[in-house]
Amino acid sequence: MQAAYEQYRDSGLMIIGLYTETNEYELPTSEDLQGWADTYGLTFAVTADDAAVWTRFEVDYGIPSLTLLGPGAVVVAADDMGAVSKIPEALPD
Amino acid sequence: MGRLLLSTCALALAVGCAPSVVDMPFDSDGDGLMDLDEQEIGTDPFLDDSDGDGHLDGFEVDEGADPINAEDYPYAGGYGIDRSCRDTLTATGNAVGDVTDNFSLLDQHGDQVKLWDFCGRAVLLVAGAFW
Repeated sequence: MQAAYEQYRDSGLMIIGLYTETNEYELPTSEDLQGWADTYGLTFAVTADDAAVWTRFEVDYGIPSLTLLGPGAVVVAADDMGAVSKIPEALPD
Repeated sequence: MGRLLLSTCALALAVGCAPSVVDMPFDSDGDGLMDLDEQEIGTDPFLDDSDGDGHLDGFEVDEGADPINAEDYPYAGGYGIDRSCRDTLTATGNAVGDVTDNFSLLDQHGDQVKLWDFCGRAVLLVAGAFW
């Protein structure tokens, strides 16, 4: 995902990681998230999904799960592991 | 440009004291914005963080945030915010073609990331866990 962020960031892409739990099955703290981001070199937003946002999109197969939004927060692809290939068509004009 | 009153007393003892007005750039609170610019924007030229959100007024302006709205601030992560349509959105659902609802979640920098702060951009949501 970091590669996609670097490729499309300047063209109008934002990536938000929704992390549900740590290895201890607890909600990640900010320090947990920073450690995760540092370990994998992630510069996009890595968040603690305490609102179960990821379950909004009728997820069939659990996590990992990808959902792509276009400008205006319009859902372009929901729970779709092929969402990365659809990024170019979702970017703002 | 700000205006600064200068006393000429020290320089012109021989001709007497008289104040004069000199045009020069001036940033009284050191927030990166000139005083006259602050008057135009509506920020306080003597307060470096006019809305009290923890970010200098000049930094907020540079990053595209509103320096007189504490709910509107740059992210420590340096993400490319685009709030241009935020106030016009109405959530309609979560299926393809719907406008999904806003959310606010804690990120690795301790900021609350709000989805609709990026409403002018495409957003990829990546759900996962640490295991």
